[in-house]
Amino acid sequence: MRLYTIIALLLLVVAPVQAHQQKAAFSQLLLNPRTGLLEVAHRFLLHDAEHAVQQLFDSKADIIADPATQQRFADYVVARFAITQADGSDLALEYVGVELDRSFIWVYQEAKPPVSSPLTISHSALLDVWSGQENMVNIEGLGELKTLYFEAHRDTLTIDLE
Amino acid sequence: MRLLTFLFATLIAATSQAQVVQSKGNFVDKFRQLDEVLPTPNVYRNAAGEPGHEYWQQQVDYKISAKLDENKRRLSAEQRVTYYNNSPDTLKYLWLQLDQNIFKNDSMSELTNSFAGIGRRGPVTREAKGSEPAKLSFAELRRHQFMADNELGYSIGDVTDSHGKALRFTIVGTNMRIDLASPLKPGQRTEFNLSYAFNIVEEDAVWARSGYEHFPDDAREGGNDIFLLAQWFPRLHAYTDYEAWTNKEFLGRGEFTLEFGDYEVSLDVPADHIVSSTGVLQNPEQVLTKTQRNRLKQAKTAKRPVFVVTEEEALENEKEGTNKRKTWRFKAENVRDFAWASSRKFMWDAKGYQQGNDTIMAMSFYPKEGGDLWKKYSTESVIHTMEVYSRFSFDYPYPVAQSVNGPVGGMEYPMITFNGPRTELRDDGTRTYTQGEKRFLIGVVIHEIGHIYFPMVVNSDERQWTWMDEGLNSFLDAIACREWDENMPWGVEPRDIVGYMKSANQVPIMTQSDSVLKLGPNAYSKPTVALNILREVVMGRELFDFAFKEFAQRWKFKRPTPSDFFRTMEEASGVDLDWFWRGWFYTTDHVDISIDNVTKLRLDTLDPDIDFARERAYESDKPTPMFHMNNRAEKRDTWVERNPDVRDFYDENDRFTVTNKERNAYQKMLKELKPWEREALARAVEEDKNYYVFEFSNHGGLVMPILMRLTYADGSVEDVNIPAEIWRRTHKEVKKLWITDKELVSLEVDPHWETADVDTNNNHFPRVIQPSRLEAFKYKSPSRSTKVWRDIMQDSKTELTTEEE
Repeated sequence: MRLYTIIALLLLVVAPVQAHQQKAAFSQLLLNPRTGLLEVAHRFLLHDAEHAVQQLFDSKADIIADPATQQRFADYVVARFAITQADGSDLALEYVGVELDRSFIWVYQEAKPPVSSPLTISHSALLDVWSGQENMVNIEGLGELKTLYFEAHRDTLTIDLE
Repeated sequence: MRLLTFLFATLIAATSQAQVVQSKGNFVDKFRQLDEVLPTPNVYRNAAGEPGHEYWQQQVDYKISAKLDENKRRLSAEQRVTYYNNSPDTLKYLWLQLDQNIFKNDSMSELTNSFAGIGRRGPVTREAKGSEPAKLSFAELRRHQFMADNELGYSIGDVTDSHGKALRFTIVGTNMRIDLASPLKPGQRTEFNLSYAFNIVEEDAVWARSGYEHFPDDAREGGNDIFLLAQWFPRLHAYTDYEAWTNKEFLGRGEFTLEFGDYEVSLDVPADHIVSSTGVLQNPEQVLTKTQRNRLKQAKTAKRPVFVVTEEEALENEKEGTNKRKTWRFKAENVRDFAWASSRKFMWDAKGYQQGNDTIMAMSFYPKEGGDLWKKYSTESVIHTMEVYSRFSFDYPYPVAQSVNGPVGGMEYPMITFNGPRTELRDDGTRTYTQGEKRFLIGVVIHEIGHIYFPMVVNSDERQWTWMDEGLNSFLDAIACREWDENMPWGVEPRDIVGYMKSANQVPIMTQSDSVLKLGPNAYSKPTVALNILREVVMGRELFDFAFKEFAQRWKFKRPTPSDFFRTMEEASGVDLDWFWRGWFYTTDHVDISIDNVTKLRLDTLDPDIDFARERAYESDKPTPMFHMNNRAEKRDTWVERNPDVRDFYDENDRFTVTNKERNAYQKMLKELKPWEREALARAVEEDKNYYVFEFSNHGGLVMPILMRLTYADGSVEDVNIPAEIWRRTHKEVKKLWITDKELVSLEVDPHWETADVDTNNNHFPRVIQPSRLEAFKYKSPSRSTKVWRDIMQDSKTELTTEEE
């Protein structure tokens, strides 16, 4: 047993279980065989994002009506998603855009495909906003489809693509 | 309970075995009938999925007197229970649910709540990682401190029989066994009395399904509370024909399995509280003013909700407290549970809903924090739900339907629901809400009121099967929401679950509630999409709606199991759906149907004058070999070209020249044909139709109908659905012959994205380049795809917002 175990406090909003605010995001990492680029599409439930921006930015933030809030949310997501290659270098993810589609908000990024495996992926969007958030990521086009689940206690995962 | 778990495990194993993994070849019988997986029909549940001729269920009646101590936030009560044994078994003991015990520090739920674990309910914790320290959230600290400072769980007082004689009881976690003085024989009833008390949890601190919420900023000194009381009295566990006592420990997620009964409940609360409760108020003269009673009367026929307690009255009320008490008395018949809410903060609106000759009172209770959002939409959403759900099932069977605002996001009980949406107080004193919060309010009220049908009346076993109430209810709430406003993005479209369907780690829908991974997609979205596909694609609305309604009516006020649902849907529609239940509910297969190839065929006429000419044309249509083309380019003439003087018969006639030898043979053949054969041939030659063979393959494992869109050269389009049964003998690839007058240009599978096909790249013949989601986005909005379009020159003039502002 370690004698001096440090416990830090997480500044999280208390958010009891809300029906319909599902706290579940889905991302797809897809190696597009036509463009040769690794495409990243993050899908958040609008209802989750709507509450998140009010807690993150401004209690009046309106992600449905205000493009600036959408952009700010996209910046927030992009800052919390990273892919590190086996040699320790970060994959240079370029921001592509953000869009609303029915009950979802999508944030897009792309990069040149990774050259080595395993990859270390971190995805902490919304994990720092409330507990219970789960981010599921499907990795496609790099061998057999693989799925990763990110939660507050594990926002960084390593995956072997061989 | 261990026995049950074991049985469940064997069921799953049997399921996969029932797929009949062959030692020879790789045939998988996707259409194998489910009979060997479903429990054997019996006199209690028959093979049609109906209650059998000896169906029984227990009845439990309660008389409860409860007292709410607002200052101590403590509830104490006495209850008399009458237990009717309608089963064919003799019972020596009764099992009760002590749900409040889940909050005890030594409960199984607390002890097994893993630090930084997967799918953990409650606040966040994070384990140490490398140089990063372990982390606790403030919420987790608050929870620990609350649970340390408050003695939680039931204190159980006397348990006595009807003669006042003490009964022996044993508490096992969230369960309690009461040993009866003498065995309770079939057809007999027994009574017992029970007194108990517990400290009410603070919902926001403990993450429960009920509790109090504190409003420290109210004008009244010390603030006010809203109390939501549920799982508040020791309830009898269900005793069933399929599981006997359903006494699986309450772990927090798997909800409740309960008996129907009649309730008489007295609630002793501070005199300035307004109470909303399961049941009908018995003493309005004692607890309501004359004005309030008149307003309730008016509300019965009003076009819009009428305030029984107005906002002004509620605001006035929440400024003061009182030492006086009032007792509200409620009666409820044939309900499986009883919940209530109490606060001096509540305003109260009501509107009558006419259902045949009955008036059902739709009512909402909410504090000022609910604001206009609640005033406008809560009660109207309650009525809309009843209108839509009744069409799909049965008339709303209770006299009241209520929506109460409090600290719980959304939770359902008979006649009463708890719903969370709120408005925000702005600096100018107004209260506003976002479009999303509005959708949330309407959606959550519809969802929770919908639960009064499923599972409060169609009383499925929630502890075992979350999908049976959440799946069926989400399917219907999506219909009700879209009938409220088509633009409400509440429905789950098949394409929304594609990411989940192809993801790597899943469990089948048919998994016990506490063991489900990814509860949202597993128990809500996937069953919703599956039922939608069943309705819109596989069965059609007429057959589906008939069978679904039949299920609801068969099991109204009874307890269905999954097999009763599967059997009824088939039996009432006349459609074999075993393959569908197998694929969608018992496996983690997904849909991915590919159109691999289309071949065009032409029928031989057998007439040499026609066929030989066609063959000649076919030959000459082939591209000229490069050798010839390059030779010509080099102006290299052939020997034949250089020697035109040497010619013979074969220079005039090619190998496709028809002679009388072939013509005679053709005539002879025609003569030898039977008359019907001759006619068939003549007709086919005359019609000269196009024959196509379509080759499909199944990459996802889940067999589904093949939805084809055929586009022809004349511009016309034809949609054709091939039933899933085409896969019954070869589940991996099938061919389909298609005969048509027209020239086919292209074929698309699932053009309307109705089947949750996970890969649409293989849905076209000829292949069409499908832009990825990201490519499609780039194409349609190039201007938004990069930050260079931000007006930074202007934006940089923006002043930094400071705390004070």
